[in-house]
Amino acid sequence: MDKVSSRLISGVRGFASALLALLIIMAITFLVVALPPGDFVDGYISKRAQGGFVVTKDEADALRAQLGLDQPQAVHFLRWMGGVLTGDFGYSWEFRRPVLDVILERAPITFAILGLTAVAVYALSIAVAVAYLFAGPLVTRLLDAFALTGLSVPNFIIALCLVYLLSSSGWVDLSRWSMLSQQVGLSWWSTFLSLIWIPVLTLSWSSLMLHSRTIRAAAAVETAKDYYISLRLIGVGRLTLLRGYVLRPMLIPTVSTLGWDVAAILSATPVVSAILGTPDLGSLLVTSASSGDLYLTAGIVLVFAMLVLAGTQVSRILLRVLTRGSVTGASG
Amino acid sequence: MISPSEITVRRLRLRAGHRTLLALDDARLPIEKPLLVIHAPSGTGKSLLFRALCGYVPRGLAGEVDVALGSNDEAVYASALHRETFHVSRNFRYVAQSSANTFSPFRSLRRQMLDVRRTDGPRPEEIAGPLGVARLLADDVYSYEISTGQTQRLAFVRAVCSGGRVLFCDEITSGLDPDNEARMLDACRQAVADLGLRFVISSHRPVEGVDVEVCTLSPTTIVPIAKDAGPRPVAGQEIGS
Repeated sequence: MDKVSSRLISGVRGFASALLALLIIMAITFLVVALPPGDFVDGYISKRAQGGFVVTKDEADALRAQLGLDQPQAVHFLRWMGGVLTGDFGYSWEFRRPVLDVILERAPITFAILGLTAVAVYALSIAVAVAYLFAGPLVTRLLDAFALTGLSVPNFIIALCLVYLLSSSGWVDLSRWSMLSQQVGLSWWSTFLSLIWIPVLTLSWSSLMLHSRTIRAAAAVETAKDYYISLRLIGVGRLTLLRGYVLRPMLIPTVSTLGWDVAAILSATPVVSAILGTPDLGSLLVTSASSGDLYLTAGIVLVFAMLVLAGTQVSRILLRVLTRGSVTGASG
Repeated sequence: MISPSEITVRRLRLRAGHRTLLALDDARLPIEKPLLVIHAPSGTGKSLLFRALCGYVPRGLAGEVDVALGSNDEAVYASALHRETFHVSRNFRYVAQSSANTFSPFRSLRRQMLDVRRTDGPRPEEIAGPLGVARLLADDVYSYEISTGQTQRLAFVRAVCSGGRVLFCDEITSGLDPDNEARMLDACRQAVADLGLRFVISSHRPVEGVDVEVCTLSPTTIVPIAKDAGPRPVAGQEIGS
């Protein structure tokens, strides 16, 4: 079998397993959304009651029948999956708009937060690991202490601290997130840049600490090898050694977990977004899941699952690039 | 350049915690002859000595070192050793005992040779040719494609091309068959003739020749061995060689 056919078969297998994973994730999502007592109509009745309106049992039953809530969850699942194949993500009961429209409205901010968080995590992790390589014992100990502190503080605590600090000092007005729903212009960009660093810092916090430790460990293994010692003793500069020898093996463990990183960031997003008031898909997921908006929840979970799978694919590509020429790359 | 006649280890202490691994005072390594062979049992501390003299002390060890080269008392380096020490020496080069990590698997062997080559030094192919490994310096050959013996020979080529006046070669012939061992020693002699280098080689096997000086090492002394006496037993400590 030639190399092209082998890669094609490997690609088809990868696509099939990704498709299967998506199906399983979506089935679980439909099951989980139906688990809590009450449905969307119960929530609707409760909201109407708060406004002084009474919804009768007949009206409620009629609404349930209209939304299809009297049918089994499996029917919803199959109908929705069939719709997804034709680009129809269903209708959001809460927003009374097509799910795709609601998702697309918040997708740019979500992607910006996710992308910038991933870039920040990787760039800063490399910087910290390089600092470890070049720094003396005092700086190393300081970095160790900082990393351990960072690892033990959860993201939402960082978010709460930032909210407190920013609102008490008046540096940043967190209510300005709503301005991002306006047309893109100079003022939009100014608001975006003044706010975007807050979720990025919060979400990258623990991943940054974890990866800087992982990269440091990989660097420690690499710099104990004979070639590194021999080249250092010959006088080859540490920068040359880093660039030409140590950087690639040092990054491999971290790059291999890119898919998990995306999953970790997306898992933290709903809580962090709820605290920071970020208008992204994370906060929307909290709203839709708690109100029982089935199709919107499913749509957001599908987007998140696809992002995780995309992260895994990017990780595979990066690993191929990093191991090119090495025995791992040659075999894989 | 006048070839130095000896290396003087004025003081060398290497400790792991409270345990002393090597303790040499005013020990003399005669390098008048092209090849000095340190012939001592495993565990005597040959590798530690070579590494420390070349400027490397692994993590976990501490101590101090004061080494001079030649009759003009030219200091090589004197340093207190804490943590992991790297002292880049102008004069000494270290060829590690062969292992899978002698070369990086992420860079072609040719690139790795070019990284260390001095512009005024010999071309890697010139040294590699007589050793039968010149073809491995093509652009796309990597360390995982070559054997242990080839790795040893290329590590030797790299050290010779990187400058320096004395090469400390740690068991460089241990992975070679008798023919290649003879070629390696011939290459050493050629480098002595062409480049004025000196070689200090650690070996478990006897190396013979009129141009070979043989010494033995214990953790507290370095002693020349008479040609007809053979290596004498020394009281070694339980340390990694």
